[in-house]
Amino acid sequence: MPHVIHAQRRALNMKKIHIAKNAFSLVEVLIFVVVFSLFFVTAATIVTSTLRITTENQNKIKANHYVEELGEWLRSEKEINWGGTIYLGSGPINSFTEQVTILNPNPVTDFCFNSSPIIEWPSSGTANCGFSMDGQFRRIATFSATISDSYVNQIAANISTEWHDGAAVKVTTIRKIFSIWE
Amino acid sequence: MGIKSKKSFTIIEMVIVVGVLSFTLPLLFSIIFLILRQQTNVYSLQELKNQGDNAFSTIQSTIKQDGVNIVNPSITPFPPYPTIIDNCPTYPTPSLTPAPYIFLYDSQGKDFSYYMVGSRIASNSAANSISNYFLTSDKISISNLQFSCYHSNQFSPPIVWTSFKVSRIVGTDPTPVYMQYSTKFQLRNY
Repeated sequence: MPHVIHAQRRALNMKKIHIAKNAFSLVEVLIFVVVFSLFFVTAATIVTSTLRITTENQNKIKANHYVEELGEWLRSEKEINWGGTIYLGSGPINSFTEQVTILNPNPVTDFCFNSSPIIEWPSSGTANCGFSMDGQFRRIATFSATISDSYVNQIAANISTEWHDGAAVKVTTIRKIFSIWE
Repeated sequence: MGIKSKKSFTIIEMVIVVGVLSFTLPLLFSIIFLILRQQTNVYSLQELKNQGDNAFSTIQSTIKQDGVNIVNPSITPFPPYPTIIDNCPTYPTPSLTPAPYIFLYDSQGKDFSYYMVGSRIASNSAANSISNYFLTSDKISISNLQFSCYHSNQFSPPIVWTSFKVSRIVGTDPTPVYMQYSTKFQLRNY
């Protein structure tokens, strides 16, 4: 009988040893968790940056369209009614050159073009130019006239569209030169 | 027998695995869907801008360079063709009521026109055997195509005003993506 009991105990011991072999060790679990975490953190970073870049791309495409739209409108204003004279400070504004030399003798003027389509010249100044176009953009044109003998030779226009991207303000800008000799 | 049974998963283990998967898989698919939708939006915007820019520059350059007479814009640009008389009024007479088409003759007396067919801009030139040549595809929709014209004075070339809106509905989003195009220009060869 003692040898039977001994055999049963030995069998039980073998069983216990086998069960212990099936479990993961702490190191194995830690390695798995670290690798898994690294994978998920990388994936989350990629997803976040992808979404941010696509949103920024959409805004860039829209901003490009807005600056081109204003550039085209200014070109048509220049082509149809260039003028060439400086605004003298009183009376109606009769031409493109008078419109952008309102602040004569300091011939730099800025305008807020926040409506699309553009119908007419807005009042000069950008103090109240909010990000109201399409809910997030604002469009500003700054003009600088080259004057010679009280006659406007050339007008440089900086056209920019700005929008908020998180805490930063992004800008798309084009520069156009208008001259009667084009 | 006892040793063999330990090689399979228990019901608790399976429930935990299925539970974790039921949380992670929907999350994963919703993120993938979000990224795809954003990419589609970018593609749509790019497509809108490309086709809008193309139609806009084509209309502007052909009318500006080749147009000599703008005729009877009050009738549709189909036969019988109108007499060659410039119809643009001289300022301060108000411009013509904007029409969704324009009909012109070039310096050789050949006709050409732009007008709407469905939701697309088409061009037509009977003299050049061109009929319904589309400037935009059916992937985008054109609306509010308008043409008008006037003379700033009696002897100046006509000034053409044109405007249209390009839009596209993306997926199930009911808010269409759109871009507005508008310009004025003088005919060069008047």
